Amino acid sequence: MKLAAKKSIFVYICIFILLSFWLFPIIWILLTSLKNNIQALAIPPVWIFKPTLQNYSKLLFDGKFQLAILNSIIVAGISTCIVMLLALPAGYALARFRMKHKEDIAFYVISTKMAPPIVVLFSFYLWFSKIGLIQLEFPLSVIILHITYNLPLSIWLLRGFFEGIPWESEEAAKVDGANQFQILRWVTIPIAMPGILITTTLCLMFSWTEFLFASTVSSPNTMTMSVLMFTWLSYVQIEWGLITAGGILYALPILIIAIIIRKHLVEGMSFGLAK
Amino acid sequence: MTNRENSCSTKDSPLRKSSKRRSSTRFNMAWYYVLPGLLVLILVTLGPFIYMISQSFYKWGIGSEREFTGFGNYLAVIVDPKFWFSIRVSIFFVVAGLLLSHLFGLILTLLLSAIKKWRGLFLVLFCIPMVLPPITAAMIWKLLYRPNTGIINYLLRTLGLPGPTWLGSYGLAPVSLVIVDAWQWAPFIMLILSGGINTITKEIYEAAEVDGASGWDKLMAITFPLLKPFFFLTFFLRFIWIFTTFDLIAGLTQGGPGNATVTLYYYTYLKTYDFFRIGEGAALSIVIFLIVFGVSMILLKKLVKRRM
Repeated sequence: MKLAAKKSIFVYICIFILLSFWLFPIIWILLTSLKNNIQALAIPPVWIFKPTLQNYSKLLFDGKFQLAILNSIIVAGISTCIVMLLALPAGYALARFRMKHKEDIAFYVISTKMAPPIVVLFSFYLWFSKIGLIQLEFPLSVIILHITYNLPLSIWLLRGFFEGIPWESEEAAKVDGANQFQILRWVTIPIAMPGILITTTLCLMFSWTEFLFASTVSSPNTMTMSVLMFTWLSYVQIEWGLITAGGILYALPILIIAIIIRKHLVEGMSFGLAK
Repeated sequence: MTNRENSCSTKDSPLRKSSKRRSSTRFNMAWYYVLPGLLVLILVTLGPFIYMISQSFYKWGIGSEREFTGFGNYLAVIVDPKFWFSIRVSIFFVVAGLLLSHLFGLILTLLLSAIKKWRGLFLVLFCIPMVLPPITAAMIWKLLYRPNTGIINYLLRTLGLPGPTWLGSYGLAPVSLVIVDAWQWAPFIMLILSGGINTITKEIYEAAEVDGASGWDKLMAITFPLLKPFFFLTFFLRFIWIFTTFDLIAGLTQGGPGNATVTLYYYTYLKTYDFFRIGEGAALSIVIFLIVFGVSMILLKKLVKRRM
């Protein structure tokens, strides 16, 4: 018994050491974001200082930052809405109805996720530049590419969720005289709601963090937050206080979402296949 | 399409319905549900893909007319030493990245499986890097890796060790990227392997203990063999992810110094968007597609089978 206790103390110590290595980088940018510009670059590093929110306040009134966040919200919001509108009926039908080639369609849907994004990117880039979509004031080009990015995964995940719904409840509603629309509205969708919400949040999350598509088909007016972050990183003189604050504000919504849907994160990411 | 609709029988009797769970009275309806999504999907995936294939047969760059070259681009790619160099970088990336992320993923899994208290909390904390936007992860490490004013080199110097230029030296830059990759993705491996370890019952270990097995014996004879399907999943997924890494390289090194961190994937991007050798870029994309498609097929067959 004593040996077991000693062993478990040893295990806890190991975990704490690893955990401090894992979380240190995040704690460090958190500290940096609360420093002023002189402290942020100081060597030896300043550990004890009077935290300031000046980076955050400066950032929130920065036009570029506001625009990038707004673009990210527009892109994630609109692309997710369209994806869900298309994916919900498709996922439902692929789970519920008996139809020819159902398995083939389902496999085609998920296999489109196997093509690395770069394989389709240039075609879009060329077409979009030809019709002037990239120079638009509105990030339509990024929205279209994010639909490409999220649609297959959403159909696939929703199909899985719909398959888990007991068929009997729909049958019971039909016996009570409900029509197809009423059944969907009052029976199927409420039961499937957790799955629908999870898929929606995964779409928002993937769109919010996507970089390759967004950087290729956006202009300075339509750049999303990930592209702005990249632009900041490529400056010779990086304003670390500002950029760390931006990184935290950018990552925060994702962290919150991820904690809420943590049980389904792995499946969503696994079927993400090619990044 | 109409043929397919007709080929589905239209009406079922209620009795048959209850005997078959996944049947419905309106089979024709199914296509109305599926088609919008399916058509958009075909339009945005198959269309650009076919166009990309066609462009790989044209010689095409900025300021020059587009002309048909057959397999000329593929030939140009094969004799291009930079292509082979990028393959070498990719192989290093994949092998080192797989090893390092699996090493830490496995250590985390085994440590966390040995404890009960706060296990869930530790799992969540370790997973924070995994859900960060990749470009934010790049930003974090660019800050840490700074040669003169970075915290890592400061700590090394206080320990009396030399502080290397992590991202600026030819030999070290790929290693630095692999470290960031492992930091971000070892928790993912931990999540999947932890799910696997939970499926192993206590009785198996107890039976082994009765037979006098040591901790190491149990690991080798029970844990690893039973985790094999989970390793399969993490191994292939990670292969694809590392192979198609873009954000991290763009954010941290942009391929430099020299060509030290130009992987095949990044080289394809540079070829198309920086050098404007569109035909060759398209040919490279097709090469990447074939590699990833081949690996994904193996993986997907397994994944889909498990889900059904």
